[in-house]
Amino acid sequence: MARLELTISRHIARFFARRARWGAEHYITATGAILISIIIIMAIFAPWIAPYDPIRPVGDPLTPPCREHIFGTDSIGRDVFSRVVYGSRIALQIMILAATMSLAVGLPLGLISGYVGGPLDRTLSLIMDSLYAFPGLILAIAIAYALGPGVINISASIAVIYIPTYFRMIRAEVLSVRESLYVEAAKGLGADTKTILFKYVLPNVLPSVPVVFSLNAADAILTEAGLSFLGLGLPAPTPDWGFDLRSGYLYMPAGYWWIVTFPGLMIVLSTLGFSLLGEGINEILNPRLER
Amino acid sequence: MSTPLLDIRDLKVYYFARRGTVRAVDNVSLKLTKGESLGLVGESGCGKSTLGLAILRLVPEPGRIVAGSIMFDGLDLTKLPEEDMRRIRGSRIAMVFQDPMTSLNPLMKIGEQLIETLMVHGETDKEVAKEKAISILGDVGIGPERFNDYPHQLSGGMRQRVMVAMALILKPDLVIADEPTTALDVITQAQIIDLMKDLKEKYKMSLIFISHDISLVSEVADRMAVMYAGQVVEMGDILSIFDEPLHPYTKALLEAIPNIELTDQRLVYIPGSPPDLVSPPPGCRFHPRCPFATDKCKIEEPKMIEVKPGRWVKCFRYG
Amino acid sequence: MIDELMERFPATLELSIFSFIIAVLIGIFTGVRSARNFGKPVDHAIRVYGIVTYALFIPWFGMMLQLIFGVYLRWLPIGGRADPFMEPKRITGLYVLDSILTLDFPALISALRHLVLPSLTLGVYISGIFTRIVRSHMIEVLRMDYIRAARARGIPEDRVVYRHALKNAFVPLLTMMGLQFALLLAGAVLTETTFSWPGMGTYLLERILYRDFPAVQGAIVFIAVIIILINLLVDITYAYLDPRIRLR
Repeated sequence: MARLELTISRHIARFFARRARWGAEHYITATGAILISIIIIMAIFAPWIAPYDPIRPVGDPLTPPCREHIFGTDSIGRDVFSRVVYGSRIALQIMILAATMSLAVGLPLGLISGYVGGPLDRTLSLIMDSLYAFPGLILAIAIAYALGPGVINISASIAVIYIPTYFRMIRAEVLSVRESLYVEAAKGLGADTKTILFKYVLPNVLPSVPVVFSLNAADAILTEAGLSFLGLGLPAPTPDWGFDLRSGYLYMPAGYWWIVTFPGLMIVLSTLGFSLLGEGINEILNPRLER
Repeated sequence: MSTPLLDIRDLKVYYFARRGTVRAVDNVSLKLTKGESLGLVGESGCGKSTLGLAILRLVPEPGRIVAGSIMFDGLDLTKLPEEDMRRIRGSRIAMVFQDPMTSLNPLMKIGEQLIETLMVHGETDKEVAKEKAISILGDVGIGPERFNDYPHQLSGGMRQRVMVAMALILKPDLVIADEPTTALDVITQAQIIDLMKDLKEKYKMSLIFISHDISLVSEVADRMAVMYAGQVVEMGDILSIFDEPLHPYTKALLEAIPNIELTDQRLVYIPGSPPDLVSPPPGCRFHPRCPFATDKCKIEEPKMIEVKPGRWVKCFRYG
Repeated sequence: MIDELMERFPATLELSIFSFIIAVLIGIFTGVRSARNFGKPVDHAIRVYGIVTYALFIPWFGMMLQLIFGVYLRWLPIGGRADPFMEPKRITGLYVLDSILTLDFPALISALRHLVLPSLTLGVYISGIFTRIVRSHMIEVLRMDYIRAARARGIPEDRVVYRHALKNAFVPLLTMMGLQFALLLAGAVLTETTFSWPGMGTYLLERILYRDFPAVQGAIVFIAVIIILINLLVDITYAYLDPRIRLR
């Protein structure tokens, strides 16, 4: 019996000792993780959390927050809270899709480009640098306009913005490994350079990916909200935070604040969550040198 | 024996880094009298630079003065408020740094940097300041036509002269020179050394000359302190040390000096490498590399003993 | 179409300039403070500020400001560049400049009042990134040997930070901030829409709504050209202001 107590108290002590060694970056990461978890829970359990159907009118239009509708109703009478909860689904869907697409396209392209070199590399690099320098949102606007609405299309428009980031990251790594590899090859290693390239390059790039992915995700949420706000996102009546901002905007000058405040707040909190997570992980993995 | 200008007692300066506490200066005591020049000699990382910075309280984070006192003309520098310390820096104690290329503000004309030093310490008349600046530049051998030049327009030797000028412009009582010639070529080195000797005479200032080059130090200094692993292991006047080095480390340093006259000479070096100052060896810190080490040396740390008046050693071979 | 663009361009330019200035001022003030107090709570707080401001979705942030200052307090207008019939005579298209040039003070007040909220929105949004840039660079500069040498000469810390470190860092900092112009433009599109600002951003969206493909193309090309020009300008300015390169 005493032994069990000892083990338990030892575990508790260790738990608190580890917390005591927590620096600011750990708190930042934890906050981000908590925010993200809330959003994810909201998305997964939306049907159980949301009190009403987000698409159909369920009350008098433009009612301020009250007991039946904690976030009030919009201009058609839909419950804002339910729309906000369901909106998380779309936001997460598009965000994951866009970020994954960027990764899936950018990483291989960078790998090939760096490895093959020559005119292919030069052309691709030029394209990527131009894309990178161009304002993200405007790029997304142009592509969304060309492709038209739809979840896949929107995700693709957003994905294009971040492809250059991954491209450059992995291409730089490939180039630096290629330098040292030629030296090795000259010494007569003679092994299959292709597999060695993959074995050396990927492990070096992999640690940076979660951080970049997180920050890209944050940016993707903002871009998607931006597109919806500008009218280039998903069509009504899909519950989307950016779209709600757009439709609620018309009533804002008259003082109907709840229609825009809450969806917008969700956008901010989701972006914040991923940003904090990304920055926090970055600090933990690459701590700045002390003075 | 007049009262010392500088009296350092039991000084400890530690760096509190993530990987551990670096004991850069571990219990150092030394004295300096007015007008005297003291050479501080040791390998890289032995703590001599940190000691120099500590006197001016410029030890960078994460370093701190942990214990001990630095008495300067009756004031304990370790306990002074920051504003008082600032007033002393540059005007009563000045420092010449190692790399003149990076120690001068690249975007500021050298004349301006000199004038600024004066203005910051109370000079209000810009014309007077400019005259003083031109005068001191002349003392170090730089003509007034260079007054409006930027540092990158000067050669390495000239830049170091400017640094010397900046140190001397307020006629400080003490100048600390931290490896002032290491970044220069040998000929320029000799010029700077000559310059420092002349100015030392002219301005009657005390000098602490920090270097890893023991033969260089012998040209400038009257007395010498040899440092190893954060501690002073031998101290005394130059001639006495060169004639009869007591500490095994000092002996090895002197033996390592190449002699240009002897042909067919192999380069002598000290085997092993300096200890990690986070966890230095127990007992005498030099024992792993010492040809005379005994079992006692491995366990107990020797104390500083005055073997002859003015001659100190930290070694069990002498008591 | 070019005329239409040129008509709209000064509006975006004016908004961008004021936002940029606000962002730079906030960025420098917070970044320097942060660098000086490396590792201390102030530093962490400012770094969090940098992260939070980037998450402030511009339309939402703008609307919040509009609600507080425009709808409830009624201090500031929530849309447009100036009150009706109060626009200054058009010389450059930049209302503030034009009203000063024509000594039209009512127009100046009107223009400024309309600029406050949009440039604050965009400015604060961008300032987070500038804070990070300034902080990072200042930490590097404060580590330099000549800073240590300056302290060794007894120069007071404030002067060391501002006259030596910041002055030296200023040009590279401005350069790095100028390179963020693309971000500024992207934010401008959202800001213009939220504040009914008749600039290039709203023009672009308008043309998209009307399915005017050539106009959209033209606008995008125009934007690309501007970005290239700004980057070029930044490079030239950097080379000009650094005496090491200038006196070569």
